[in-house]
Amino acid sequence: MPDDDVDWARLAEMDPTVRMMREAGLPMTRENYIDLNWGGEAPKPWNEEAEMSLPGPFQISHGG
Amino acid sequence: MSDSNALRVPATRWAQPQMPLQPNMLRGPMPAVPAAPPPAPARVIAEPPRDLAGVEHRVSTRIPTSKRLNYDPHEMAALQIGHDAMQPGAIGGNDVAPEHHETTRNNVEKSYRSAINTLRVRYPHINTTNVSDAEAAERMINHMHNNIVFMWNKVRNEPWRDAAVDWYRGANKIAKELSSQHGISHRQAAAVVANLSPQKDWDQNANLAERLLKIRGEHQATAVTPEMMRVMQGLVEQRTPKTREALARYVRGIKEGDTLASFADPIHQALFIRAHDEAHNPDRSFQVISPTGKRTPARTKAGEDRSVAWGSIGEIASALQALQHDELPNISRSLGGNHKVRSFYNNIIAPDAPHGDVTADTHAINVALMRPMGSKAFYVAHGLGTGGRGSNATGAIGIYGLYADAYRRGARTISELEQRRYLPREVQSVTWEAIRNMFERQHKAVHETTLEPTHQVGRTARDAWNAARYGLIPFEHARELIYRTAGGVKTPAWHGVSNA
Repeated sequence: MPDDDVDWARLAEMDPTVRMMREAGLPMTRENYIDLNWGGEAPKPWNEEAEMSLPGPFQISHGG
Repeated sequence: MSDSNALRVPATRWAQPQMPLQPNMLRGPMPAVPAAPPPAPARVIAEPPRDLAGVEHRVSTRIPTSKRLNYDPHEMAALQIGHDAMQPGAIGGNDVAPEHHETTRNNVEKSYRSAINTLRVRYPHINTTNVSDAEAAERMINHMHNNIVFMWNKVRNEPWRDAAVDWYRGANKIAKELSSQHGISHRQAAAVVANLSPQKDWDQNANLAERLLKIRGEHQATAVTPEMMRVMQGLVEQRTPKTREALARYVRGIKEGDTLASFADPIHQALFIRAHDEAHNPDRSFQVISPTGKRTPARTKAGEDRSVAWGSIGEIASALQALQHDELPNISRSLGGNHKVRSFYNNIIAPDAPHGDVTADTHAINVALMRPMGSKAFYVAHGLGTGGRGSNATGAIGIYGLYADAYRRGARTISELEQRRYLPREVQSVTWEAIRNMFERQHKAVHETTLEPTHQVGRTARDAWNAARYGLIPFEHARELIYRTAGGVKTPAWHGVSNA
């Protein structure tokens, strides 16, 4: 997803972790989201059900 | 050889191999030619919807997040995930301002091409050579449809089938009980359950919903204790220094002696509830819940109680956001943008809705592809929405829409065969139980680095599909071979469990 098109305010209304990131001024990155959302409890090994629970803009694209 | 019409052609052609099998091409014995399915009856089921209860509580199953949108997607329930929703035609004339129309359509087109390109490259068993993107998607849907119908036919006479048909009615009933017990609306209870579902099996999911609502209901006047503060501080320290402050500022807003009632923000409430449960509730056990609502203790193979574990603070806060107020747009916002969570909510709150909502998880994808796969598998990721480029303008992610359409189409075919209307969610829950009791954990083993299957069942599935794709065996034989190599469908553990 091209990030310049994302309405982060709308996403923050739908996702408390995105809201915390915005409030703290954290860069909107996948790494920051995973660390803040799960911390040391992030699924190990990282799995695709965890991947899909990330907001779309933070998901890894497998596409060509 | 195409799998696009395998279950629609006349029976005389249905099971005939076009090319002989090569020796040792497949591991394991070649199955006998399966019995042909009954011929499709001429009459198409056209029953009216059987029950509209809960339909007014449905939400859209895709949520666009583009800043160019002219409307609020949470104010409507009509945005459905499917193949159509992945394409530029999903953008309505007034969805974005005229000056953004071309850019938006181009972005959606790129997203669609990306998803289908992934299908072409990573699904070699689907013949997508020299066909349009739309036809490639159609072939994928038909292949999955045929697998879904195959699995249905394998269990259609099982004594547990009707209970599995009613799985979502059972979940609806549990949500209703939670609603009555805790003084919240039915849809709020359904949203709590759906929001706590990611990465949890149903039994843990239901238990977490019960824990959350019990603490919220019984501990409004309970004060924060030093033990709870230690749990919350532990959560902060689990974060790296880079993000720690984002959570710490919320924990600093909580002091010993504060009550749950004093917190208005769902994030504060989530911290309180998780900390209270972990600090003051030593009982971590949960129960297995059958589709008919029967409960038995969840135990390990060694006979010990299994322990429930909370998901993220974000998920708990989302569940609590649904309880902030009962307006449908608020419920919709709390559910986030994930197709599966939103569809799960719809299936729970309106199980008989005629809209065709489909909850596709790892097991549902294993049915559709007839491969034993764990949550790390590429195909699971792709199906659940992480594969391919998503579209902010449509809210469609990956190829979830193709899976949803495959179950919808499967439900239509099965309804014709059975002469009774079956909803997609009913087909999904029956085949879900079937595949869960056919593919075992070890069947899903993959090589650490290549991710190629290492168990015989996984290897057989890979080889059989490739053989079918290149015309070496018919697709029907591939299905039967995979089914037999896996040992068929075992009876679910919950079947026959008494209420005692």
